[in-house]
Amino acid sequence: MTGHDKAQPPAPVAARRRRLIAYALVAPGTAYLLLVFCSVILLLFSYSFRTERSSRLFAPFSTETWSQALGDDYQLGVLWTTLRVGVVVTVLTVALAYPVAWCLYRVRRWWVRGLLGFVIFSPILVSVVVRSYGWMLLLSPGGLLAGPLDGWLYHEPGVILALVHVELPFAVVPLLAALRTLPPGVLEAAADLGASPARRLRSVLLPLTLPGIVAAAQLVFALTVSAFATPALLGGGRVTVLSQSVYQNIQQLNWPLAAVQALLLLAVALVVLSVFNRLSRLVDVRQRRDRKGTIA
Amino acid sequence: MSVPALHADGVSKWFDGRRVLDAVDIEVREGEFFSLLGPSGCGKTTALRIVAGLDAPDEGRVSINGTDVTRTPAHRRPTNLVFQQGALFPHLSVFDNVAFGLRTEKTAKREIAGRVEELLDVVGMAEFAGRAPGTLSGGQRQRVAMARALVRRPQVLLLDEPLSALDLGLQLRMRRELRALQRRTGTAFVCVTHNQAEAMEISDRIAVLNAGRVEQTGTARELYHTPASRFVAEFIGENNLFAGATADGLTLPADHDGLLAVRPESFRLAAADDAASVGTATVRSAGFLGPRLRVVLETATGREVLVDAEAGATTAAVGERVGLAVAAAQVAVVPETAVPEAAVPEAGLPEEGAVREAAS
Repeated sequence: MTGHDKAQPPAPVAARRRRLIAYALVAPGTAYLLLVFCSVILLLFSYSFRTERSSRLFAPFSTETWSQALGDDYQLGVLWTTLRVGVVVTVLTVALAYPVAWCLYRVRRWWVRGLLGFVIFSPILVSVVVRSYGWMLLLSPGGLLAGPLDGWLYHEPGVILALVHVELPFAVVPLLAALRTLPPGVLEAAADLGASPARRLRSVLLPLTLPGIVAAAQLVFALTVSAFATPALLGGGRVTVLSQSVYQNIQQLNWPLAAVQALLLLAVALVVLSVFNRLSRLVDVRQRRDRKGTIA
Repeated sequence: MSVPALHADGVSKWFDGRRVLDAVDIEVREGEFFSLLGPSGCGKTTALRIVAGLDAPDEGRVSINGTDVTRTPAHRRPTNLVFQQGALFPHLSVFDNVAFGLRTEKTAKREIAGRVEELLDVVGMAEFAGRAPGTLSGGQRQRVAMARALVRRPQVLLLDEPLSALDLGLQLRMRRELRALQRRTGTAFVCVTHNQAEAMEISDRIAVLNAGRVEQTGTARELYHTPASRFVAEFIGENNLFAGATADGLTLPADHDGLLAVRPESFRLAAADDAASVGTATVRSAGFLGPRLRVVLETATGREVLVDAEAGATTAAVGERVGLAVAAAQVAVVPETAVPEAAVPEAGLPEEGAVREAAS
């Protein structure tokens, strides 16, 4: 990214100029991200070690809020619901998105591909709130899906159903990108070597698109655990996830508890994302190669 | 004759309303090295993919050792294909790449190890068993691809431009290795190539494809000496084509007034007044090619004639007028349109065409 040319190092002056330009280009974005993110995290961190007294921040250092958040059954239940919904939605979304991405990858006619792409990605153009209200209409008594999916509204299945719909396009993008990096001919080679369609999927397609699957899962999980509008509307107050709880606590001016839960949410996301990374490295042989190029 | 190892019977294929294969007939004998030769876009790769089961023919049938496999999917056919760029699995080691085709048919573990090692040994890649394909050179990858296809002991091995990705020196060496490998395994090989020198060097028989049609099938010698069509005469080696026995200021010793072909090495340079010469021409250029001298001549009508003369015995000064001599046996009669293989030797000689003496 520094503009170095490997084959032929440019003249020193030109190199310095290029480096300066590179820094100048990188600086604004980095500064913006770091300032806002770091200052907010620090603020949350300091808030989390205080307590709330009659709707005001009580200054002295205390771990009382942390023990409240981690010791209380209701609070732990919220954390557990967030994790569960996150994992279920991630698994369902990636499983549903994979065949869709495959279809987009295989379609040859440009106008079919364009149409399919539009159908899949158009939900992004509509606000999440509008889409969630749409699901409420479908699931509420008298709605189109009220019969077969009776009782899903204001319960976890309804929340999961709507979240899968919301996150689906975000899973298709990395999967499609991974499919497009497939080396030419490997699937046909597998078929030629006697692999049935199921075997081709298991032994060639899935291992080779694993980086895309991991990226899709990470993206969907991060978006799901931090989703607010969809669980709030379709949960109807009965299904509470961390992001809602944070909002409610802020409404009640309980800033310390909101800070603790916001940090918990961040920790959940970071832990799960790093687990995904670890897992993918364990499964992906190409990353297990030593320096001589031997596969362990 | 015994049952052919591979028989493609009247295979046609359309892509987007364009006919890429037109009633292609191919018969490959048991243990034969057979090449499908043609320029790019002639449909040779499509023909190979149809045999492998990767594409379905719109018309015609494919049978292997007498069994009709036209409707058999690729993974159940007794053929294996060596892909153009190898198409090795990047996530598997060399060993696992070669073992892949055995694991799909539930071979016993011990047998897999034995057969994979044997094949890696045959292609000289035994010491690379643990390596990832990404760390191999093009030639090494191609060898692994061959081992991977051969380890399943296919009844017919298909090769799609197996050498075209390699540099010239390696190509020449791999040609001999490929031929040796075929002799050793005794498997029928069907090799697609656009390189006529390669096809002639390694094949028992060659089918020349042009615009989706088989122009001629035969040994390299047959294709070279008795081309069945203008296309074959021009595509295989170099040729001087003449519209008739008296054309372009020459009078060729042939009993035929149609298309005639004379190879550059069949012409002999003679003195301008030599009684045996069939005409005279002016030397335009002469290039030394080592054993041969490539002489480009121009006849009185401005027609260019290529002559390969023995370098040691010939002197040809640019601008010099020389005589051209050729034996009657060296003048090939070329049918104007593609005709079935069997009809070539009997190509009718027109009775009315008077025998023309070589002009003085």
